[in-house]
Amino acid sequence: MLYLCLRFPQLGLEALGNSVDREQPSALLENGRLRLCNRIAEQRGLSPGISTGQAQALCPELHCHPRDALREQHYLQRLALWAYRFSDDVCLSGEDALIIEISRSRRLFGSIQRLHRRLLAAYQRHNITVQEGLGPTPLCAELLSLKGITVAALLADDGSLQRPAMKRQLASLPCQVLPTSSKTHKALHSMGLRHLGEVLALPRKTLLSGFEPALCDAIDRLTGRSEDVRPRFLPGERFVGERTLPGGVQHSEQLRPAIDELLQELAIYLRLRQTLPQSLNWRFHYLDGQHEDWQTPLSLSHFERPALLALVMLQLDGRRLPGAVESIELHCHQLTALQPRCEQLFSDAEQEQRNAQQMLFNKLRLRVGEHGIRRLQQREDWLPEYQGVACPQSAYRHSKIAATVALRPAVLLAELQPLPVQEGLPLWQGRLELLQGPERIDSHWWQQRQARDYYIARHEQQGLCWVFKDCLSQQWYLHGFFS
Amino acid sequence: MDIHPVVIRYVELNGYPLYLYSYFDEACVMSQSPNLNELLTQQPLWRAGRAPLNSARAGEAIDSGWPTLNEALHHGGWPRSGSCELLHSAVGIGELSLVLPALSALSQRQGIAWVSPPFLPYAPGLHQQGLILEQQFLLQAPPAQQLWCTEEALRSGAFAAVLSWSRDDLPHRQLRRLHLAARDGHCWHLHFRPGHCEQQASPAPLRLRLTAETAALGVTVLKQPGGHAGQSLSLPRPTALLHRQRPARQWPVSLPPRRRLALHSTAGQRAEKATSPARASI
Repeated sequence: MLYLCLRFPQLGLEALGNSVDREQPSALLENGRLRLCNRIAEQRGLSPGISTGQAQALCPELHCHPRDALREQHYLQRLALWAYRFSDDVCLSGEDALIIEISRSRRLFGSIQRLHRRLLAAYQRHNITVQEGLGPTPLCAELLSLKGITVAALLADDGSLQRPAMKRQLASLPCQVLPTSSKTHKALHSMGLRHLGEVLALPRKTLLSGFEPALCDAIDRLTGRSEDVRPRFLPGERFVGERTLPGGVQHSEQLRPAIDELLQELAIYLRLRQTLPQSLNWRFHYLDGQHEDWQTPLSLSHFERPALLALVMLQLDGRRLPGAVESIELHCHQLTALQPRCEQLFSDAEQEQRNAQQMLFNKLRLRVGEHGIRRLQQREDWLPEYQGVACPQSAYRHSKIAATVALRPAVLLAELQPLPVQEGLPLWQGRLELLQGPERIDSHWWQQRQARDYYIARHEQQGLCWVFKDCLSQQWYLHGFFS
Repeated sequence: MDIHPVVIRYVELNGYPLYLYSYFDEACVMSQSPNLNELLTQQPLWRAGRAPLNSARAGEAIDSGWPTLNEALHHGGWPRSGSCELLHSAVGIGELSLVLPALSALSQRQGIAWVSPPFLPYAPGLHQQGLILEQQFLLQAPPAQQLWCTEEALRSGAFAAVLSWSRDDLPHRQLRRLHLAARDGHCWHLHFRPGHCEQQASPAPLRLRLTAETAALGVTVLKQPGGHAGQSLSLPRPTALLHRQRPARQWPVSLPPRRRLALHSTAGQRAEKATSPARASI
């Protein structure tokens, strides 16, 4: 087993996103004191723990941000989600560190060194400050990460841990890093023990008799004598992502990078959980404190980020932003299990076409609404207008109905058109010549009786149409065309 | 064989002198202009006496289901992609039945979209003509969105054919957009337009004028790829549709009309008889 601990010392500030300017001295406040300050602020002589007044006196241009514990927690979970791609054994340690078991992913990535490089590159790309620790036990890695070591120096060429070097590093740590009470720390200090190496060198009998049992327990977990079982991190049941846009954004096109990042994050989450979203729920926070919720309904067979981004941007084009957007939240809670894709034996063309249809229908739904897509369906009924209908896609059911023997037109009028009559014959753009008929359809006596005599007629421009005479009201109607 | 070129026109192309011959020797022209060489290889130019377009695309054409029409079209059928205009003024002359055989063949495997048709496509009627109803998609958009909707459907590659209707004249730019979208999406675009649009130049490679004849659909090829246009043919309509029945009042009946009149009169007499005894009793 090989554990890698990643500690994020600047987590509090990085969690606030773009609202913190990296080039300016900034600090995080908690209870009127500095909890954290960035590198530039430290260069100006500030350090965590000093009061706000003192800090302002030392560095008047200091930007102070209040601490947002919930946000930090979400941020750490996002980082854990990222790490989850490299190993299934990820656990959160404290408020600002992750412990990842990496030896089991060695074969997947080729070597530990390559895995480590890729893991670190991912964090560096997003300008996240990381301190690392490595060890055969979680606690060892955790303690070494407090100091911040170079992991590459501890690894041999074959990826195994160089234990003497690791022990040297561990021995040089101060005793205060041990997860025990302050009373034990004081006791160790009064005995003249300053470094961890000296504590580790104590005989076990002394440890058991002279100190609290917590110390012995910690040493056991550190050396691997007892199991250190920690709750594993599991991706949540729902996805929540957020992006802040410092200063606010007025144009929907300027939101594109932020939306793309959120979708990228969602894609990782979906891949890990092997699910697909039913809809994307967006919440836009405006600078004036208002917020607006809207939804992108989806029906996807697989997740394709560029196409989805185009879809969301299409939906945004049709909306007017009432003000400058300060932050975007993305929630996905209705997740369905990803169906394994069935590959076609001979060609993928049909599958591709089905995917293209899904994508097109998603677009149409956003632009013209759900009613914009209809499918033709045959139904069991006597009246022609109910026999063939265009129903919405959601209501479509496969049906197998025997074809009628009588001739039926290719197109039907949406509404019956009453026809005037001259000398007993109907008129439509001139005289109509009745070719064949009547075909009597008498039905719906249980509602409102319909008795119709249908004829195929020819109009003066030589086109064929389908007309009928209502036997009850003696009125002629035009119903369709043999196009 | 020696070719004796006859100069019919002299032009300059990018500063190079260029002679256009009625029977020209290609090597002779190409040596004078390298640009022409490029033009001839890249652009889909039609050249008389050569049939590269025909032979290359013949396999791609969709069988129209009408042997005479297949013969009249140089590619041997409907084009697989791109715009195809059908110009007609009257309704019900068989404008859909012209394309239905090809659509039925396509709908066996692929989808077909009907974008905002003027009338509702009637499922039982289309089913009778062999169309697979499951593959038919009706896309209905408000007038302002129709062009967008058509273009998206054409470009998406989701359908083998897209049918669209336009009532008014569309600008040339829009027609070109539709044609290019159909070509990119590898989709057969059937564009039904009113007859008066015939005068307007159009980027669609295939344009047909549809007219009604007494028992047939008249088709005139206004423009087609791969060769000369102007073919005119008439495709007969199904005889079952044109079957002429005698009007109902001429149908043979078993009782002669005189007898019926007699019945009427006897009924009257009976009524009189019925009342008369009553009177008598009074």
